[in-house]
Amino acid sequence: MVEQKDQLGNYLKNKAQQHKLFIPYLTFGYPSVSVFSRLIEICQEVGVDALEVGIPHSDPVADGPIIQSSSQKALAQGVDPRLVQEQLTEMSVDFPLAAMTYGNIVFQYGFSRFAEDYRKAGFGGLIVADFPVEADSFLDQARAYLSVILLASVTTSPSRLAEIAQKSQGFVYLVSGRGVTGNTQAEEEDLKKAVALIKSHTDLPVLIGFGINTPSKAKKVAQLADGVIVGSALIQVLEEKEKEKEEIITQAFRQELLAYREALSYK
Amino acid sequence: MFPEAFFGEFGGRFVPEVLVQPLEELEQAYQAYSQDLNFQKELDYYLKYYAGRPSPLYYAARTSEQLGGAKLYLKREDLNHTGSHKINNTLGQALLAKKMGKKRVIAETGAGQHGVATATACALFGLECEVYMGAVDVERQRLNVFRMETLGAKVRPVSSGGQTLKDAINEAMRDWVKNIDTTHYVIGSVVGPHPYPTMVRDFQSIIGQEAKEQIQLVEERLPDYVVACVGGGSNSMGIFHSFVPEKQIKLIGVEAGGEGGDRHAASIGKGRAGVLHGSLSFVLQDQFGQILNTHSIAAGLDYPGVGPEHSFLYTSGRAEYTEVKDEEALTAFFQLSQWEGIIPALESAHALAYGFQLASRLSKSQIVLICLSGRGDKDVEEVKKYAGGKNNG
Repeated sequence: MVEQKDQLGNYLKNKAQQHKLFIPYLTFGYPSVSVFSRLIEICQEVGVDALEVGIPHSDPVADGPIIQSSSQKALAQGVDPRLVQEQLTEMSVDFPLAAMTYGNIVFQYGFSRFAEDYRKAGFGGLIVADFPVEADSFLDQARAYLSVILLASVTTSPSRLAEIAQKSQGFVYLVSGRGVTGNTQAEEEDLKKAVALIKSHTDLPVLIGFGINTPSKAKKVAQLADGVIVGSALIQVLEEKEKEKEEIITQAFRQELLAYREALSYK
Repeated sequence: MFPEAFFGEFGGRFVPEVLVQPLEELEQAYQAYSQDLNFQKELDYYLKYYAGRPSPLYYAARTSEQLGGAKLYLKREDLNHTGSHKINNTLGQALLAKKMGKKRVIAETGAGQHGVATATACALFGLECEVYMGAVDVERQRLNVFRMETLGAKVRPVSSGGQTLKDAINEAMRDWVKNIDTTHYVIGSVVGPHPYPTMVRDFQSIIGQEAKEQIQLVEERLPDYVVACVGGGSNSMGIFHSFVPEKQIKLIGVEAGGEGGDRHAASIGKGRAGVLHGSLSFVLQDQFGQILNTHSIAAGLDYPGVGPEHSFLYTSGRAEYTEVKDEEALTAFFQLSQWEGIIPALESAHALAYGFQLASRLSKSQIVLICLSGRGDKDVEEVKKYAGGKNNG
């Protein structure tokens, strides 16, 4: 199988020359499918470098309570991987999308078919939260159509970090601290060491995610790498306004997104 | 992925990256201690003088006579300390945790049997213990919650998802990610990422080792059939393991047929291959891979997955799997109680129900070995609710 030429990686490498990378995470279909479409438009207006689109799973073991709850609510509205693909095919988005989900969702869809269909819907990357680098016999099947983004952690051994850096595409997703999404405190030194090690094996950008919950923290953590991923903190803003009218939700989201974009506008 | 993590195509280690390092550490420690004679001696000591092993192999004479067919033997895991086979695994894992220098142990529990067995082993070895339990299960198994608390454990109700066993496992995994330096996660069945399915099977394989010796002593031959219930599948893997190489012996796993229709927990019978809790195995799921909620009268079988080695024994044809409904399990529950004076756990009653049907079809020269995995004191209230006294003889 011929691999696609890591277009996502090249795109982000370019962007990283200009400013710190900002990639938000949103759960597809939360707070609703129609509001989610609006949130994508706002991402476009504010200017994100890419968007992680969470495809909800019934058993999200790598997620904290905030994303768990958004996943459950999305599932309750009938969100499934086909709907995600159909809806995003209809939308025109001018930044890259990465699908973030769990292995069983892609396994049931078929790794190769999933990648092909999602590519058509405008996706450039795939993150499988519970498939580590050893699962490459599955992950490789997606590489013909999507860049497969691998996760690394501060607890990962140096030899594994090297392997992850070499096999990751798009960017390397460094999980800060030892936690699930939304609840971590990582030692700066551990992160710095991990970033340096990863960078000695790849020229892809390194982004830090999990536990970044304020713009000022985002600014600080981004200094250690090429940028950050912000998920739970954004979902929490949506959750607080969940019962309000659409304008109030989208306005709160825009404000929050702007604050992060601003905090990360430096090089 | 590394071959030692797999049983045929099933098994593996499908976990978030943060869990890879602690699982590797656990695998190395387990490999080292499983070959360490001092560790084995210490574990044997506790299994014998604390848990009460070997458990008896009991010839159920009256039941065999009632059924008029094969001779039925029961492996009496119900007579272990804490009332089930669960203690075999928790003593092993808690001792391992202590040797690894862990101060804290976490566990998941459904009915509470594994939680109680973990809390017991932690009290014995002086380890801090927290048990995750679905909020629904906390409500319907109050007695076991109180037992765990009496033993000094903290019970953490889980209110995510269906609020039962699968959600308790999710929450325990999240806890472990955050506390890997201090904490060992004692999984209660042959499920989860490598090395758990192998390690838990090894700790439980004493059931089959003993039964094999015991039956040869009294019958001077091996049984024709070995029957055990399968939820996650730890008592069944434990009794099957020693008999797997004896190809002439039929191994039969009994899953929970529940009420029939959509209300069951038969992962092998009605599921298909998928990834749940770190391994690839048969899983009850919808067409998109979302995990389904399950039903069984026996809380210990109420789980949408099954150990990967069972999936391998099934697809390779070495073992057969069948289903027994709630109603049939209830009947066997009363039959064994009244024919033998042994109240079985509702989980074990599934194995009994199938074993009884089987035995009655066989000739008197044949032998059926059934794993009586636990005692039924914990279930009497639930049974009263279901049966309303209609099965009283």
